[in-house]
Amino acid sequence: MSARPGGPPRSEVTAGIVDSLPLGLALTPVGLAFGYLAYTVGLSWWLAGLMSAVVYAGPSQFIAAGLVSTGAGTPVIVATTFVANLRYSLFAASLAPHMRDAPRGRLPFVSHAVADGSYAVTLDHALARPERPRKDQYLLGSFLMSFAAWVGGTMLGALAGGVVPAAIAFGLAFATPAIFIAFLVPYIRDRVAVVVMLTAGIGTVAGNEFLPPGAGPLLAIVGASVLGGALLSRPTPR
Amino acid sequence: MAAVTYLTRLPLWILVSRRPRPHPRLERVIEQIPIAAFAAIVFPGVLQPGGSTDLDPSNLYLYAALVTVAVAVASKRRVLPTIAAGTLTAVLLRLLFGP
Repeated sequence: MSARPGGPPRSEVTAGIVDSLPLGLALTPVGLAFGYLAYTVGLSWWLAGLMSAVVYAGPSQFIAAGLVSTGAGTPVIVATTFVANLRYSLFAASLAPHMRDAPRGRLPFVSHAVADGSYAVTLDHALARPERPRKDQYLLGSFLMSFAAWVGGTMLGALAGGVVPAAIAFGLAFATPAIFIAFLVPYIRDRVAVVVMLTAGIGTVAGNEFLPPGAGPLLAIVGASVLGGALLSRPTPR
Repeated sequence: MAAVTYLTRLPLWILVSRRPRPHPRLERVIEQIPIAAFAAIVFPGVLQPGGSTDLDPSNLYLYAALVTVAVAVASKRRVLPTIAAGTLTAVLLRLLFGP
């Protein structure tokens, strides 16, 4: 398909949708799980779906539902959400350099698409195919697939409740680590990458044990990235 | 929640997309973000499945993760076979050894 002058190159949107199919498959069970959790803490199916649509940030929604069940107030929930989602600022900083040919007016809308999965898929595409135009369109396509899976899964989960057999649910809950293992493995090419991975991974696990919810991943990602950057900037090469 | 989440996404998104390349030192830090971010999802997903740390050999996700890493390497970064293998392994392990 050729791009009309001034018009969006549709094939990039389609490419984003198609490449995000595995992501959609992985996100659906997570959506089901969140919908069920939202149902158990008293949210209706449409409110749970609305939350997934407008917040569109899985981990923080799980944390918020947990906080609701412990009777936490709105300020605590909002502040925790902000801290938990600050990593999207890092994702935005990492992905934005690939968006230079996007129309400026579109960027504020596409920023809503910056979430863990679409970030991974789009960055992968941007690094592998730098010559392709309009990564914002690709990101939009990835978003459409993720959004449908996440919001659809949420509403189904809230409506259907815990109807999934335990063994299947146990396996589906592993879909998230599994897909991010697939995203992570290609990046592990040298010793610094291993150090960054272990620092961020172990740091997050420790942070989840000892820090307020959402703070662990943020601090671990920042710390590990700065450490990795510093190691690579050393005067003597590895 | 929606408003503060949007606030985490927007500012750097707009700012960085309009700038020339950052300082090389900062660029090297930014290049580490995907590695750190994915590790920050994978490690707790495997080691803290119920929300609390579980390093016991009875944590079936440990074995599912090993299988997933092996398939990710063997399939040369193909995402679909990797999540299919990981998820199926987790289901099978649970059926065979689960409570």
